[in-house]
Amino acid sequence: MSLYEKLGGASAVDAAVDIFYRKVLADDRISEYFDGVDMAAQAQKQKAFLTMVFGGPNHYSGKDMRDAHKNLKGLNDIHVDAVIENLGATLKELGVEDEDIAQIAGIAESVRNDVLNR
Amino acid sequence: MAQVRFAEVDIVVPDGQSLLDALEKAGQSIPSSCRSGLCHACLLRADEGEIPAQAQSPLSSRQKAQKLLLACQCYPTSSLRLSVPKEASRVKATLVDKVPLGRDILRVRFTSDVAWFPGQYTTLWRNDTEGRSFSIASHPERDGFLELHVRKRAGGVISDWLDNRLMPGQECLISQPRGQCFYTPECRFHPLLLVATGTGLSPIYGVLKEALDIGHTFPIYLYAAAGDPEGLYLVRELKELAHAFPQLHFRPVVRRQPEIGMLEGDVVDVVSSQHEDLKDWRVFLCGTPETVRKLQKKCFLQGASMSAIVADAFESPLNV
Repeated sequence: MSLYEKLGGASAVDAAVDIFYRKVLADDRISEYFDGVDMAAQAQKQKAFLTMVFGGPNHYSGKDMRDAHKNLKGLNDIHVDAVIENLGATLKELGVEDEDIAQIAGIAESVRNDVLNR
Repeated sequence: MAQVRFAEVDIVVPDGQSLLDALEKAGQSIPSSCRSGLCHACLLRADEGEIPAQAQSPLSSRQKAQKLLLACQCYPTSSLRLSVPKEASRVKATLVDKVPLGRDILRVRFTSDVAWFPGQYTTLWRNDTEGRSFSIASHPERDGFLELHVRKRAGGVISDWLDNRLMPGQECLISQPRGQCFYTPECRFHPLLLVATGTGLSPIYGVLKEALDIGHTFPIYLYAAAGDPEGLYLVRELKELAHAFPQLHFRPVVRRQPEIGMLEGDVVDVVSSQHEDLKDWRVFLCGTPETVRKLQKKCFLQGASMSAIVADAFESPLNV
């Protein structure tokens, strides 16, 4: 069974997205990047991101990730760290095991350079 | 910079200019309304060429597959050959009546052979290119007519025409109703929070009447907001509904000079202080973009699921 199946598939993503997005909006390190965005569209993008890091079926492309973040001024490692922390806290809240959280954080880590356009 | 071909004419689109702006500057008549990617009035088809992703991002996968794009969201980087899609075709509607509601709202009713859900929106066309979108307050079968609430504005392209030119019995064209703002059966076993500013009450009224008609017994809180009491409308009708349906709580909100039974303050503050826990609620927010966006964020942070919030921001040019 894949990690994605083990977590509960699409319904796990649905459960996680609200919790994750609320944490992101409440985090002073990154919340201003989300001011004025279309929240429903943003939630869809976060679902795609969560599906990807859960190891689910996704159409992840490094180019999309680069394009989506290239105009965000001052984006750096602190912001990526914040997102990965919020992801971990979300999973913890949902009762995901530490070992699985580590694996998910590892996948999130793998897109760091795309997000930061390096 | 990119070159596009439309109506047998080659047109240059400079960097940073939308396709819609460039086509208009070149003298082409393109239907448009909100210019923000929401109303879909400026839908075009790319018969040849590569469509920028942004020009399609608000569209459905079906529309994308048909190579449709929104001209106002399109900043082409390579050449395109464009045409007006047949799907954008419009249907006839006949004006039944027009009645002033309150200080500056006009209620217009049309008959037309189209289907809709109360709360969706249509575009009224004065001619081939000038149209504006309005949300629908009525039900196709229960009411049998299409009811829209229009704020009258001096020099309004459509409001002035509706107020002074189009007469009952006369026809005009409308677009097929569309949009995500409507009551679904899934809402039935949840409390409802309905918030309207200005003519946002048009779709909210449609959603409310649909909920009551379907037999929604969970609590419904309706906030209608305006600057002062004169700016509100349908107050008597809504009070009567709240009297007939005890599950309905109607709360008019004004920023100044409240009358008895009205709340005073900014509707964002009023609603967020009255509803601190919105877990499991279904939320409909309609009206001015700034208020709708602030409330959407508040409601989400106060527990409403993102998928349970319908945010219908009226992105309209000043000359409605």
